[in-house]
Amino acid sequence: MGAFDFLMQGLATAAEPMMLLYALIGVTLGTAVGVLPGIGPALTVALLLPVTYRLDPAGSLIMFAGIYYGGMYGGSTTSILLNTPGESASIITALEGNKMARKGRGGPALATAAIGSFVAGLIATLLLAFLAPSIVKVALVFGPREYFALMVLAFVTVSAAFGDSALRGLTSLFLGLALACVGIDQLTGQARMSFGVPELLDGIEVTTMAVAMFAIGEALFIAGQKNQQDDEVTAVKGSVWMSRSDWARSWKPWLRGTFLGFPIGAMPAGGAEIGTFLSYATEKKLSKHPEEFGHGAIEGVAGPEAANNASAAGTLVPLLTLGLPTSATAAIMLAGFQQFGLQPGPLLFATNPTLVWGLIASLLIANAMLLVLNLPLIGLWVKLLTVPKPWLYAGILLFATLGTIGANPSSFELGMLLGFGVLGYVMRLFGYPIAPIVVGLILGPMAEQQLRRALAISQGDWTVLVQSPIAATLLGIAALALIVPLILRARGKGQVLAQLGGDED
Amino acid sequence: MTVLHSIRQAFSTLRAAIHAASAVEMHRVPTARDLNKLGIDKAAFQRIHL
Repeated sequence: MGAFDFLMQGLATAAEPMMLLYALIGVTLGTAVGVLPGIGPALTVALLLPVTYRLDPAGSLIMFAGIYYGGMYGGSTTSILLNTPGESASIITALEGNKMARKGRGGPALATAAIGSFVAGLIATLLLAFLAPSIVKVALVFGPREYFALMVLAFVTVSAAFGDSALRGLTSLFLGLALACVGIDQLTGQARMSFGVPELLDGIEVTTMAVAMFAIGEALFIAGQKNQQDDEVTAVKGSVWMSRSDWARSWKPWLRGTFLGFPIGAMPAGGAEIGTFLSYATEKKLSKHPEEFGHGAIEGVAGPEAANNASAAGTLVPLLTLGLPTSATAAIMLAGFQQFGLQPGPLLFATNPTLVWGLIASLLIANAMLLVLNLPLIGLWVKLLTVPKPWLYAGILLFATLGTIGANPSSFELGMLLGFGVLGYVMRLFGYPIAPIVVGLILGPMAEQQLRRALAISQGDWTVLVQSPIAATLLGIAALALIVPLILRARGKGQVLAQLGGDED
Repeated sequence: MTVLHSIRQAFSTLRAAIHAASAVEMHRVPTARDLNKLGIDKAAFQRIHL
């Protein structure tokens, strides 16, 4: 069967009433969290992980994907109307979108953002559906050493290559890898780093860690920030619909944003934000009206909004085909798969095609739902902003605690949740990235398992790791990704990196 | 020469985008140099409630 037949089969699964309900809950929640400043998709999926523990796996994953897509849609609303991005991938939208709203063109700004998100989501989901089988074919020939090399590459790119500081990224990663060692060694049965505490023999629960780092840590950090401005909503005046000229100026940025955002989302540690910045720079360079940029150019809203949605679909390519998370939300979604005993990767396409293709197809349905939900209900979404912020933060803390205790009723688990939550807050306070610690905890055991398998096959010969061309290439790229930024800093050529490092100190 | 220049420009824009994205993820304003490279006015960017 080809990708098209699988997609059709997936559409049949995703169109079941229960799956449609899960998708609707996902996109509604996603849009709500996208609208609320400070709450992103990563936090919401983390909060829902323990709650969905006993639900249907396919439905829960469809809901998570809906939240991811919805978050990207919803973030633009507050960017445009309040100059306060709902989540970081919509920051660029605020630059031109809010200027448009202040000029009384809030309607077309919201429309180009919503339609651009729909177009990008549609194209990117189809790209995901048609690319995934080819990547799965390549990945099926991967052995333990290739998988180990792939994970080393993911570790380096997530922690050291693209962040502000390689040292901070690597510190966060190694903290995650160290926590991943806690518990009974699956190969020898020996207890590691459990310090005689029986609760630690099972290891650190990924769900608890994800909720602590992304929900508790983030809520504490946002609540602790001093500069809490009172947001003033710019009313949407005039028609919400776009004029002929708006359409003419928007369609090319939508397509360019899609083709910039999709591969960047698929890159390890790419993140949706990079695509939005690149899209803005590209649109400004290519625009026939560059003078309008900074004063409300529609291209500056259309391109970045398409880029951030395409990036969400791009992130699902390595997650579903290789089991590699390239963003914080993807890392938590991976934890979501694991809590149902599923391991994303090429084998999942063979062992559970109904779930994978149902999930991919549900994205198409979620995308259509989002278009319908977003534009007509803008008034409702904006009303969400009247929820007092202390209630919001207290609600997140309460929900996180109840969810974790519900899934794992133990005071020790609660202690770990709060302990890691405070660690997440302190890490944010001192500029340590959060994604590497979670990726280290999730991928660490898998990397260890693959390394030990490779070494067992080669009877302890380490050179086996570089004897396969694929593994050697991946390890070579990982080494370059680690070393090149360091050399650039040392030689003074990476002035930007050095300047950033200086700013941090 | 022009091709080489374009490639260099593309890479420096990508690098600026990566650094700017990394800064906003940590709730910080990106450096003026990165914003300038991306065609963004720093004053306008600072008005966004990050």
